[in-house]
Amino acid sequence: MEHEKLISLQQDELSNKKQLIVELLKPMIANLYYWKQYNFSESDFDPEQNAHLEKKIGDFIIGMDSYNQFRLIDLSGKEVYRLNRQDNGKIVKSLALQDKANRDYYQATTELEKDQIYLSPLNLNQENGVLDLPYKPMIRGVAPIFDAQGTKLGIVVINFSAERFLDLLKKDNPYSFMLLDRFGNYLICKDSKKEFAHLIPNSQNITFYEEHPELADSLRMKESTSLFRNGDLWIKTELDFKKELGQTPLFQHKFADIKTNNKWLLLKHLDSEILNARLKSEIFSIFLINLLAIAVIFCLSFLEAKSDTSKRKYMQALELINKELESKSTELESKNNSLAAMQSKLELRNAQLLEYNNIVAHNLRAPTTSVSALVSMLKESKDYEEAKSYFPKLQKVTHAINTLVDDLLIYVRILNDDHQVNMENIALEPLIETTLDLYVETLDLETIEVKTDFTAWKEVKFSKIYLQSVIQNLISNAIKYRDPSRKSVIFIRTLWENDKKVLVVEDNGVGVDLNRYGNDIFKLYKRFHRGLSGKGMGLFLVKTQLESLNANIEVTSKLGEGTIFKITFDSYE
Amino acid sequence: MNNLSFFLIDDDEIFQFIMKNTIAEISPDIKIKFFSDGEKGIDFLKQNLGAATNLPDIILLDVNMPFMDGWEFLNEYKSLQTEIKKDINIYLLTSSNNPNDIAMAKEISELSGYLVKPISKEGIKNLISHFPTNEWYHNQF
Repeated sequence: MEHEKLISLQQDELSNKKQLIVELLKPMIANLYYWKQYNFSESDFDPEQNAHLEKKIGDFIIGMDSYNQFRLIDLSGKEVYRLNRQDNGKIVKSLALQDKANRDYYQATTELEKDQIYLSPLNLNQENGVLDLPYKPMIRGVAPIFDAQGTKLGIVVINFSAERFLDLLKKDNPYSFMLLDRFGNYLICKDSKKEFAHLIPNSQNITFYEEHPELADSLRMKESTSLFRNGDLWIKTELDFKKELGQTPLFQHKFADIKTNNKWLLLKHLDSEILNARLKSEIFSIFLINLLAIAVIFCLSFLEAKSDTSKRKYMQALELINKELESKSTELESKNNSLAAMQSKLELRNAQLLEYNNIVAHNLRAPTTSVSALVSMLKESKDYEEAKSYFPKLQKVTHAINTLVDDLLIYVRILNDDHQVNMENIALEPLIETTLDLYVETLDLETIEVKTDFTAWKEVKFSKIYLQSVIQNLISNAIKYRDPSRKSVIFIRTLWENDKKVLVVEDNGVGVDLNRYGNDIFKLYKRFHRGLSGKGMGLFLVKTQLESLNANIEVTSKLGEGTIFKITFDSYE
Repeated sequence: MNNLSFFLIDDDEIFQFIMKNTIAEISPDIKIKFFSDGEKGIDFLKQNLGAATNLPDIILLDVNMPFMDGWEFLNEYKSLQTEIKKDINIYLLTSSNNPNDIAMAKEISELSGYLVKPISKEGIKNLISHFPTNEWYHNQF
């Protein structure tokens, strides 16, 4: 009866230990999965190009104290990147990259499929083919790495230190506890010489089954069992990695698949003496140990959660940096926009100055050279009669120069004014009515019909003086270039286009051949209609006034059909 | 040489007057005819395609003119050239030394040269004495 109780307590303890192992393995799986999803690129697998990984991965691994090594191994089995944790905990990038093509874990993992994760048997660390001293028990976790296109780049190999977890299993162990691998090799044994004997050269390599052949069959029968043999009590529990880890969400939901051969045996041996002599007192202590094991599991889940927390913090930091970058990029964008606006303003100013240059060069130079030519002719004139004949010519030239200078002054004033121009909200309808009043006699006499439609918008922010001048010029043009062969109609209307206010002045006049004059229609002193007295200043002024306040004007026209001027205002408001 | 015939196509009346005087001073035998824009010049050529005696040896062509400017005149002239029964040399006149205008002018095979205003009496004399110019003519270098 008491034995039964003892067995059940011991069973509980073993299953707690088993749970402990599983809980310790879970973070390994999660870590491997994390690196598997980490977007490594082809260049990360080139030792010449992957120095930048140090910052990214190194910082991360400092917090992962179960990592003994972190390696990337390429498809040919050569290490391409390697971080070691030194005994003092420092993470160091190793420059001596080794060829692991012949190692069992490399060979076991070359065939890993995209979603598979591999866990090696519990092993002792080797460097360059020699066991590392003191022995460093560890489990290698391996995951294959694919690039975004699905091409395999290599594998990530993490050596998870098993020291802590072996210590935990050995702790408070009044009865002999053994951990065996699937072949019966000792991983934990009261007699530490037997531990890992199968891996250590020149040691007495004997398996549990060789030592206790009589137990072998019975122990293998069931997952959990107990048996008495020669007065000793044996209690065992199996741990099949594949089966136990299959319960983790990652594998349960088929995000990944685990590849491992590990099947461990947790075994307790209570020999007859202890069994009889100390049974009663031990029951209590076993109970305590169970409590302790539960506490340990609790601690470990907390640790795991903590590693999750640090990952989350890492992600949060990344997110923060991302947000900062985003706000900087919007800032840059808005600066770009204002630069672009400034540039178009400068381009406009440049074009205006070029225009000014051209006017001076072409329009001023001609009359001034004429003056000098006339003056020299005047000097050479033989008599007063001849000299007198030059005076009307001279007068004509000086008049032309005066007109030009006046016009240029208007132009220059517009160019210089644009900062001081008084911008105000202008009600369009009264402004147009006033302008039409100037031409009321002509409009009546010639029975020109003026139609308006201001339903789209009625007010615009602009310089009143400029807008009045613009509209006056356009109406005057429409009247001047009307087609006498049909009833003239001028149609003034407002619209919205791309969120901008547009004012359209349309006539059914003689029109102008824009294929021929397109570029010149807004230029100074350009005239296109023989017999119709235009000075060639109107549309030049219109364009200059509009552009100086960021509005622009376009024209469409067909000979014999009419002309449409379209003014687009800047969306200031 | 002195029985050359000139066309001046230029809207500047004063320049017309000055040229008339200048040429009269060089030689009263030199004929000069005036057109105040390109269109008027082209219209005259169209009406006198076969009448070689009415056609000039030299056309002085202003760039900036209303209704039809110098460039347009050259375009129109190009389409008439095969029908014109006389070898005409056209010199572009401009008041500016604008390099763009000069480059553009050199591209046009119908042009024989380029004259920058103001053109002095010596300038006209020089042109006449070199006429017909085989190479691209330019009165200022």
